[in-house]
Amino acid sequence: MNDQAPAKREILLAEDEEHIAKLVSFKLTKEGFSVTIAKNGQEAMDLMITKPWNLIILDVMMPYHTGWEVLKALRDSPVTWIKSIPVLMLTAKGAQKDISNAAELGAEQYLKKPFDPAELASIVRKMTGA
Amino acid sequence: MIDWESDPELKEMQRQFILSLHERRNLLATALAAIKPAVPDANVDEALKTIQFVAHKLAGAAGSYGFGKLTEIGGRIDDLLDEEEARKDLKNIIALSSELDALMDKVLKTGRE
Repeated sequence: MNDQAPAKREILLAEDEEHIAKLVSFKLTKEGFSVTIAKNGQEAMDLMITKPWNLIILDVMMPYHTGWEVLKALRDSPVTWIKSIPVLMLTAKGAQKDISNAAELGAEQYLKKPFDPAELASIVRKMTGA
Repeated sequence: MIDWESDPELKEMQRQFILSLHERRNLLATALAAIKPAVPDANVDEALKTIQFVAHKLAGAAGSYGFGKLTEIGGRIDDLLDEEEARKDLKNIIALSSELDALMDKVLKTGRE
């Protein structure tokens, strides 16, 4: 019998607004996920290639690199496991052009802020198969 | 949406968000002072960037913490400052920003909108 607990699903959250980062982290941690926070676009670039995250949640308006730049770098990666990490955009930008841009750059899901943490958790569960 | 009273940690997070309005008000006040017509050599572009930064961040965060009106006004300013023509209407931007500031002040004093 295998008595090992299943590995926690690992999520990289790129978010420079600390109060949003805390709220997302609080909710997803309660749901059993492990959440690592990148406080800006550069940290997201550095962290995204360190492990096969189950999901990356990306804000758009961040210092150093926007979420669009991070998403493009991810999808342009020559490394298959990096370029195939699922991405959820979580942003206050909700214009149709932003939603279209996210899809064109390869984000799987888009959630506009402000958000309902229960809805976020539901999307994350579906995207990670949890 | 969230029942903020249901968990002490949540309640504390909401309290910390409300306290963050002090810094947001300070940033907004500095930017608004810089774009008043009487200010010579004002760096209007830089001030508008700061106003949009404050408004955009509030638009995303405030509603998630139960403050929908802050999100609504912040979103209006953010959208307005995305438009080249609207950026020239400083009077309108100042009026909306003042409305946002007054609402932040109210939330800081009462915990409600």
